Amino acid sequence: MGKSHLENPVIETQQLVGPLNRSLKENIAKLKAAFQSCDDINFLYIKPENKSCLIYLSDIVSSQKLNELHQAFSSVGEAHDSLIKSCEADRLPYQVSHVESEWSALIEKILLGYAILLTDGQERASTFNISHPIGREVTTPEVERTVEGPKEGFVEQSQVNLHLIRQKIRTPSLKVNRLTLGTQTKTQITILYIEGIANEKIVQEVHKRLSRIKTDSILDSRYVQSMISDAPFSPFPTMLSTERPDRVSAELLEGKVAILTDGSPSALVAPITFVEYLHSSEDYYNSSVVSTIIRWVRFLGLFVALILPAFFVAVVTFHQDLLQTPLLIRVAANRANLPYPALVEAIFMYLTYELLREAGLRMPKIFGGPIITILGLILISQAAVTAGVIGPLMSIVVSTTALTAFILPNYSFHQIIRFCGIPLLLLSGFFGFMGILVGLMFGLAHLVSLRSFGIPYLSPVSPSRKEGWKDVFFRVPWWAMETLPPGLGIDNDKTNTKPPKRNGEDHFE
Amino acid sequence: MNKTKPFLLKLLFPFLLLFVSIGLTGCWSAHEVNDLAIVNVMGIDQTKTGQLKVTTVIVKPPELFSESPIGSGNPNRSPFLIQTITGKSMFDVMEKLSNALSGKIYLGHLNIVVFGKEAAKHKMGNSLDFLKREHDFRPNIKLLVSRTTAEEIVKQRPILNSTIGLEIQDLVKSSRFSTSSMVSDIMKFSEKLEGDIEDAYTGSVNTVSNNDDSHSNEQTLSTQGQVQPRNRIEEQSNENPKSDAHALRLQGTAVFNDGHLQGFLDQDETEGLLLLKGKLHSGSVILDCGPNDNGAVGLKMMHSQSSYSPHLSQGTPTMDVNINVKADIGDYTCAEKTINTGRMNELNHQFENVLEHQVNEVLAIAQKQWQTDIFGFGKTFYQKYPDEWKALAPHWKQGLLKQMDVHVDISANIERYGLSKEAVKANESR
Repeated sequence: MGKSHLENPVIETQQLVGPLNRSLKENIAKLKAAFQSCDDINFLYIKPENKSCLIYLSDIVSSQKLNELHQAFSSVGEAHDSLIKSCEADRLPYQVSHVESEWSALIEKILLGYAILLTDGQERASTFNISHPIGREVTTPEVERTVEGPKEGFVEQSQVNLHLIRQKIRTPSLKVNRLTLGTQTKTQITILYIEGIANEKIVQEVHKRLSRIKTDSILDSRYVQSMISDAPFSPFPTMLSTERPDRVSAELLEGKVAILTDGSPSALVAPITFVEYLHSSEDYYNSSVVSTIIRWVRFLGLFVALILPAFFVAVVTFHQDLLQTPLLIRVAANRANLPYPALVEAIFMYLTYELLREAGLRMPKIFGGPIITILGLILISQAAVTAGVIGPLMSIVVSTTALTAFILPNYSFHQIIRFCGIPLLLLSGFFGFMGILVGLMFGLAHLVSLRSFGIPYLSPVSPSRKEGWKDVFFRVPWWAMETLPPGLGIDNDKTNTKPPKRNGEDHFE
Repeated sequence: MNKTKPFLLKLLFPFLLLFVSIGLTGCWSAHEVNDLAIVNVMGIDQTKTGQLKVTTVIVKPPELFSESPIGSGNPNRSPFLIQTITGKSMFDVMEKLSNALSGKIYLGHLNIVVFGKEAAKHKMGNSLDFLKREHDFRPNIKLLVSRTTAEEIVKQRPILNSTIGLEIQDLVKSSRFSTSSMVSDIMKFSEKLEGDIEDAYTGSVNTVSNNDDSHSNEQTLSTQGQVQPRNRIEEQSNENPKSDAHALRLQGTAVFNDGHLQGFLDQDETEGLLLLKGKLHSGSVILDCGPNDNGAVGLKMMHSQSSYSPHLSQGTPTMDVNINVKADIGDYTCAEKTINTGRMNELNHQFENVLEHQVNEVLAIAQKQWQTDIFGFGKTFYQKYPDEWKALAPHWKQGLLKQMDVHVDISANIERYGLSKEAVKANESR
């Protein structure tokens, strides 16, 4: 894993290119050489004449289907073109069959779980899909859980994932483009968009960026994300990765482009804006009042997770004037005789939490898993307070921050916000509120400069498109969601009850 | 590989520089909250030799909030550190004080500054100068004048609050019947003290000992109602009540003239002053029911408004003052008379007379006797006749203010007596 595609150019063990031979023997010899010491490859000659051969990887095909196939061909006896055709039509109506004459395509098929039929004297081979995919059942998503709304989540096979989306959006306008990436893994990438809603330029841009990827392996959708996102050095994600089909469908209907990666249960959505990381699909299932309040709670949570420890350290070391007298005396009494300055305490608590969190994540479920993180944090901070190493208020502040960070619905965004708190904490320890403000200003400047596939990251707030605020600061009821989010380039309207508006800037000029 | 290393260094170099510079400067103006000596109250007195004597009360937070009051080492240790230091000036005193303390003197949470009577007479400007220059000092701190020495006030132990500063602050803020709005903060006070148009005034505070509480003749009914429960609590909490246990009381107004303390107004006169200035928002007046009725009408003043209209005719200033007062009925114990329109007019008239008496009383003292312009009369002249004021100003305090006629017109209105038109009385027929 993780071999850099730049430094180690991929060398295939045995390059097998070009057209097939006429002779079955030579073909088989070539294949055997290509699949040398792959013990799972099987060459099954069709009796009694042994003039044709079924080749497949024994462990990834369905034995039942293989049996049927084998029986069908055995009964035919001598393999001729016409016979095979009639056999396909009569005996194997459900089998997908292709005819290939190129080695590279053929090998790819074998690796996908097809059986290929080589016949002596023919320069092409028939392929039959008898693969037996193994994977999880469609279950509830583990990370993005909701109380209301659909309960199904993506699995690792992109065919199943596409199925889930097709079940929600039943229109031929939902376009599905496939390509294969990774010289070794040959991972199937599926690009989804809705024609007429999605901006053609964004679709083209996604295609262009994907085609530029040169790598040996794609094991998860994040590989793709890191290779095609706009600002490769920015810690902020510019593509949304989600494991919910309903979320992906909603984004598709807003005119976005989704990318499914085979082998990964999370789909990528682009372009994405900052506020959408604070949205959860549940927002759209709850009533608009409730969702709006919850959104504001999330905004608050964002700030708490970012600056609460920094704020506390700044107040305690620089700006005692801001507290009221009884509170100041309380704080002073709490912090009396503590050996370390507040900043050091905060860093200590932060480190403890990060250690526990990581340990809890890696811990086998049998030992308690994530519960240990929370309990451990509370127990250790309690003990540290009793031991007189850290102040009780500091333990409250850091525990609150640690728990509050989970209010952010998107995990990768949650992680970034959590870690952004640390530089802010250091700045506040050195410079007080001044430091926090400067840090936040740098952060804001960075966010404003980001773009996701051409869309400004902070839109529709900056640049301001007020018609988009209906889904930013509020979640207006569905009957009021008449227009698509602005700035995606197509300002047409969804329900076609109003003439299309075209005002403001087009980000694609 | 060769290419990436210098690139990384290049990228990291500015951050390295930044971090080193942060590390070198350190936490420059940081002072941890546990290293602060939080000064809670400051009392400023003058010694007999003319030096400043400053009493500061410094909070010792751990002792104030000891976690286990029973077990923790020394329950009798005072939660306050009281330092009395004499010096030439406030700055001198503060220097000496900082030598005597292990923490940094922190004035950001100074709640109250109390001036002793002598200091208020002679050292007002000098002391305020330091307080205005000191940067973590808040300009909205309340300033009070003690009738005796500031030290005596400051050394009191708090009864209901955790610190004496908060105790006095709450006394100023929330005592229901006291006319607390004459207490000035440092900012407004020094503005008036430095300016030459108005004279400054602020609240005065004194201690009332438990023993001679009953002899205190200055109190009105209402203040006694407030003070007595306070004393009772103190008696309960003190296992061995000392004879010098005192209670603090906000009482009247300290009036300044040309930057020096002139004298004190009592409670009634203070109410008159606030009426004149339109700042009376609480307070009470008790009216009699009539010649042969034992009951009384308690009025709760809710709101007052005043407007000055200065006139100048041939260099002689006169002043018309219109005062509007609104009040509620607090209690009504007149046996005979029920409330109706006629009765209300009668009461309003009676009420106006009482108020007018109060206003005239304060005018007689402050304007006629002391010749101090705490009312802000001069300011209104200055605003209305800016050109003529230049000629008036030199003579203002030399008799002009004293001779000025002030016509006071009071309209009082008792509102919202609702449906309770008669006094509550026991039904004797049963």
